[in-house]
Amino acid sequence: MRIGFPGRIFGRPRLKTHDGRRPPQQPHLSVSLLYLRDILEYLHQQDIRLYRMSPYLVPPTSAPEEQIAECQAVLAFVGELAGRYRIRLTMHALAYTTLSTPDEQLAERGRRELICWSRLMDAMGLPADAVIVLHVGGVYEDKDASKARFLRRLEALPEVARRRLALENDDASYSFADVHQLAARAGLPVVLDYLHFLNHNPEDLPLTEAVHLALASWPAGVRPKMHFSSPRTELKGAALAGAWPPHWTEHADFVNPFEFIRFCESCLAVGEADMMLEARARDLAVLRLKADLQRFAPALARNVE
Amino acid sequence: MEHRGMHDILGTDPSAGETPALVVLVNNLADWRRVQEEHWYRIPLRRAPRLAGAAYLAFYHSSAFEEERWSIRWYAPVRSVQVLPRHMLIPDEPAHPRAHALYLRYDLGPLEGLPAPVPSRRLRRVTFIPTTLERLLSAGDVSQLWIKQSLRERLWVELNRQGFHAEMDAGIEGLPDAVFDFVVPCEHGGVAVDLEQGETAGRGYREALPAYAPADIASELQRLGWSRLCFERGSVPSIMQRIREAVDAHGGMRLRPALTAGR
Repeated sequence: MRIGFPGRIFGRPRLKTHDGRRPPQQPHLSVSLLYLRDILEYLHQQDIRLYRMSPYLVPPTSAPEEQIAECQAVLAFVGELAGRYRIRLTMHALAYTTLSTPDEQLAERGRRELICWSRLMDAMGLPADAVIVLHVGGVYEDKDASKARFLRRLEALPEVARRRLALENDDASYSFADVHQLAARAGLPVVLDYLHFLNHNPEDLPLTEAVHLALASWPAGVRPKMHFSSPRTELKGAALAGAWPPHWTEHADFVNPFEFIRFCESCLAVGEADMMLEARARDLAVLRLKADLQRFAPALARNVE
Repeated sequence: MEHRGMHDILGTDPSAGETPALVVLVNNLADWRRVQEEHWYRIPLRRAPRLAGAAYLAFYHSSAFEEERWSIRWYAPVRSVQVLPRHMLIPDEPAHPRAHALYLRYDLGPLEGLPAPVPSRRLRRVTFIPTTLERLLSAGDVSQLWIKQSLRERLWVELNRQGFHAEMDAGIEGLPDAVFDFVVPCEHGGVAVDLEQGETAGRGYREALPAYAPADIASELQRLGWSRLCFERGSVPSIMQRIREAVDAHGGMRLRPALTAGR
C-alpha cells in the first residue's frame, strides 16, 4: 500500500506545485515540471510514494498542446524520475471540469482539459495506474438527463483520455452506487472516497460491499486507489464572535489512525489499494499516519511502501 | 539591459507569494556571453540543486570577472527549461568528456539589473542559492539570500515523522493562557518545548503571561508535573534526542487528549 497526498507541500512550504506566473509573465509547462522534479526529490527523501499532481501544471495558455509538444524531453525526464523513485502520480479534475453540465461550452472546456492532462501523462511515460480522477458533476434539476449527458460525453472522449479516467463518488449528488453504475457502463474504474461515502450513501450500501465493488472495477495489473480522510470535528469561528459546528464533509487536518486502521483491517486485503489522504496537513498527515501505523498497527505498517 | 524597481518587477499582484529564484555561478566569459547574447544557462543534471525550479535566475560572478566579481548584479526570467545532452547544447565541443551528459538548459528572457548589486563581502564560494526574487531585490549581501527552513518547521516535520503525539502552538491543562511551540503529553505530566530564536523568540509562556518571570515558568510547570525544554539553537537530531529523553523520563507518551486549544 502506498499512502500519498495531493498538491501543496507543508513540510517544505517553499516547494511550488506549478508555475503560477500570470500569462503576461509567460508561465511555461517546463518550469512547472522542474518544480515537480523538486517535489519528487522531496517525496523520495520522505519515503512518500503516492502524489497527486497539480491540475495547474499546464499553464493557462491558448495552446497547451504546443507546450506539451515543446516539453517532450522534460516530460520524459520527470516521468522517468517518478518511475525510478517508485512514486505513483495521479491527477484530479478541477471542480468545474464537468461532463454532465447542460452548458456545452463548459463541457467542451472540460473535455479539452481531460485530453490535455492525458497527453501530458502519456508524454511522461506514466503507467496505467496514473489516473485522472473525475466527479460526475452537478444534477442540474434532472439527474437522469445529467447522467445521460455525462455518459454521452464520456463515450465521445478519445481513447487517450478515456483510458486514464477513474470516477469518484461525491458527498451530495452522486453516491457510490450512482458512480459505480455509471462507471460500469463506461468501463471505468471507481475511486471510493471514504468520507464522501459516509456522508452520502442513500442506498445504505454496506461499506465492505462498496469497497469490494470499487476494487473489482479496476483492471488487472493496476492497483486500485481510494481516498481517505477523517471528518473535521473542531468548533468553527471565534468563541466570542459566535461559533458553529463543522460540516462532516470537511476534511480534518490529520487522519484519525484508529479509523484508518479499522477501515483497512475490515475492508482490504494486504496491499490491495493505494490510499490518497485528503487531509488538510497534506504530507505532514502522511508522515504522521505512517508513524501512527508503526505504533498501533505494525503488521499494516509493514505493508506500507 | 535595464534597471527596474521592485514593484515594476513584481507587477500588480504582490500578494501572490514568494517568487522562486535561483542564484547560479558564472565563472567564465563564454558562459556569460551565452547568458547575455543567447539567453540561456546550463546546469549539469547530476549536480542540479534540490530546488532547481525557479521563475528567475540570478547570476553570481566569480573572480574571473574584474568589476563584477563576487557579486550579483543581473537576473533574468526563466521562459522555459529543456533537458539536453551537452553535445546538443555546445555542438562545437563534440569530443568533450561529458558530451553525452544531460544538462538542464534554462531559456531566459532579457537580463535585468538589480536595483543594487548584492555583494558577497565574505567572499563565499557560491554554486547555487535557491532564494526568492523578493529577497534578491532587497538583499545587501549574498549571505542574506539563503533561506533556511526554520528550526520550528523542521522540528514539526520530524516530530510527525517519528510518531510523537505532539501539538504545535498548544497549551497545557492548568495553565489556561500559556502557549508553547510544542507540547507532548506524557503518562506523567508532559514536555513543553519552546524555541527561542528569530521570529519565535519570546513566544509561548512568557508572551502569554508576561507577569511571570522565567523562574515562575519552571515552578508552575513543575507543579503540574511538566518539564519545559528551551532551545536557542541545535540540530534537529540532537533536539529530538533531548525531547525523547524527556518524554521517557515522564513515563512515555500519553494518548488521551490532554491539551487545551491552541491559539
